[in-house]
Amino acid sequence: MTAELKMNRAPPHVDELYQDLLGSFEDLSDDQKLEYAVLMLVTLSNQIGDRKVVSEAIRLCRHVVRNGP
Amino acid sequence: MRFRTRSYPFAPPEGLRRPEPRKHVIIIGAGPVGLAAALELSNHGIECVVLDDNNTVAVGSRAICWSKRSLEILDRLGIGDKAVAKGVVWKVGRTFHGDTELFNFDLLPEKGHKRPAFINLQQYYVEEFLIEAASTRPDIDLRFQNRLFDAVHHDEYVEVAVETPDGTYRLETEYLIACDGAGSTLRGLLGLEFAGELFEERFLIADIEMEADFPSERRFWFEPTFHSGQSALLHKQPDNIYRIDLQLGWDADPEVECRKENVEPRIRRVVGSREFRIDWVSVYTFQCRRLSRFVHGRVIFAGDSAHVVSPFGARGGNSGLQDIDNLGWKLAAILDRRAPPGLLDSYDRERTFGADRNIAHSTRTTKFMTPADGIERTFRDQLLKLARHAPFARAWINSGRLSTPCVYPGIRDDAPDLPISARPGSVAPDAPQRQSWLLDQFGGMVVIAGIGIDPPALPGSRPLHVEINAFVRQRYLGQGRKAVYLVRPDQVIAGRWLRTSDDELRSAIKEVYEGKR
Ligand SMILES: Cc1cc2nc3c(=O)[nH]c(=O)nc-3n(C[C@H](O)[C@H](O)[C@H](O)COP(=O)(O)OP(=O)(O)OC[C@H]3O[C@@H](n4cnc5c(N)ncnc54)[C@H](O)[C@@H]3O)c2cc1C
Repeated sequence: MTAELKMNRAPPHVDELYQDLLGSFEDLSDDQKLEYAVLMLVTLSNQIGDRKVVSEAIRLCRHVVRNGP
Repeated sequence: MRFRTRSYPFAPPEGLRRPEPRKHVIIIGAGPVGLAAALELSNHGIECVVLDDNNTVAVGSRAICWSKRSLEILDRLGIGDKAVAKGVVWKVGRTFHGDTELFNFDLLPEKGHKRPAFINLQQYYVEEFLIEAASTRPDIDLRFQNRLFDAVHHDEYVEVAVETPDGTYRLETEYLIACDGAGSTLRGLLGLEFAGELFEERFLIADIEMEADFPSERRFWFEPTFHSGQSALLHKQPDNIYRIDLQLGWDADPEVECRKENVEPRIRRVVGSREFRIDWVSVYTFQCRRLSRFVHGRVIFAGDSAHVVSPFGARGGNSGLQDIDNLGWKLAAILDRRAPPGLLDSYDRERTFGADRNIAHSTRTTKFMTPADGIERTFRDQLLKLARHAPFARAWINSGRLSTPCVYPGIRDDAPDLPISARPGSVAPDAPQRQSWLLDQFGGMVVIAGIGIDPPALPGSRPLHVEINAFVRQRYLGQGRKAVYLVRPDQVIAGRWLRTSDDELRSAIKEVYEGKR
């Protein structure tokens, strides 16, 4: 499932996207960073619109956070 | 004209003098759900006794929003027209953040339905209309000031003990329906407990009388300037009564908050300089909980005795009426020996499913409206901000997802090419017909509805030729040209076919009475 998520969703220009994401946190205070991250999550989830895909992303990211490197 | 609460007389029951014959059904509680149960059973020719510990309708701030589905049910109970004539019809809701309107919604954008999306009507009117209707039915024995205080479950019957102003007596009944509200005595007597969540939040609910030009719509505010940091709701009711709900926080002291000197300034901030009179004020906390099962042998729970929710989706009273809609024909069929007692399992299955849906909606709304500190609040607050800038985010704002009937799962025989709005398990959608409305022709018994097909006349059912028009086409046919729908006595679709045979329909009708569809 996780592999599927990655395979299906890996877009071109990942390096550029990565820079965009990093850059988007610039000039924000720590509080604002959290608020911004929340807004991004909602906006992207809305765009994806598929609960299964979002659930799979949630599962994957929580797994990584909880299980460390 | 303002509502005047009348007292219903106490008539000493026969049971005080000599044992009464065993009853088919006793209903505990003459709230909206118990009264609806009595009328629904009467519609099916079943006699019942209703016991209520009180002698008036509900006073104070209780239900006001009655859904389209409830109005359709009230139609079959004989008070739909009266309720709509007295009620305030509304379908537009507006949601604000601070003083800015974030968005508005129209609950019933389509035409071609007999009943509006919602009416606002005080619960005491609904109860009074139901009592008036019940009083005209000789098969309903309505007993006020008759308080149930004990119940013993035997194999063949249930025995109840009742207290009246003139003493106590006992009654026996084949089935007992517990409609005795959130604090149900019967739940306690049977040792049953609710499971679910209690929310640590308090709301001030005030009904005020005021001459005002607010339109007939629901207005909900997150963090309004007039009630800093909290939420507020304003609703119009008949007789120039307005309902104002103000979130107070868990620390608020209910007794202090209800004092006139504290309530008046809060209301003044909402209504400005308009003159008003306080009709009723109370402070509530809310729960989202239910019994794990609604059927316990011969005792059946319905309405608030079975499940409770917060009022922000108007799902309490409305879902109680749906319980009765589901239960009435099943119990009548069992008592008439047309169905096995096991049919009650389908009441249990379907209505616990419905309750879970309501509890899920209500819990989510309550969490959105009263988020816990931390990430819950961050999400909620950011969404409110986002909705000011981005229309897509408005759909995420949850100020109450208003009551609509659930679609019962697991009912087979679907023709997937037909429209989803009339899929098996859902309430049949309404549509105009030449003389009346489609829903007026469904209900009471199983109907075989032929759309572009001659419906067969089969035992245990009634054939109905549906007249095809644009609404029927859109709601029942889609791209198809003809179809047969099997509709249960509670107007729920029990199967649909592009083509079928009498044998197939015969076995489908049998399955309806076995609780399989
Ligand atoms: C502030 C507020 C707002 C609400 N708004 C809405 C809304 O807009 N829409 C909506 O659908 N719902 C709403 N509700 C919920 C709605 O009021 C209830 O769901 C509804 O009253 C449930 O009806 P019921 O018949 O099950 O119980 P009840 O209305 O509580 O009736 C129970 C009856 O049983 C009687 N009784 C109790 N014990 C005994 C006994 N031992 N013997 C005999 N009789 C007994 C009581 O006297 C009472 O008459 C709201 C509730 C509140 C508090």
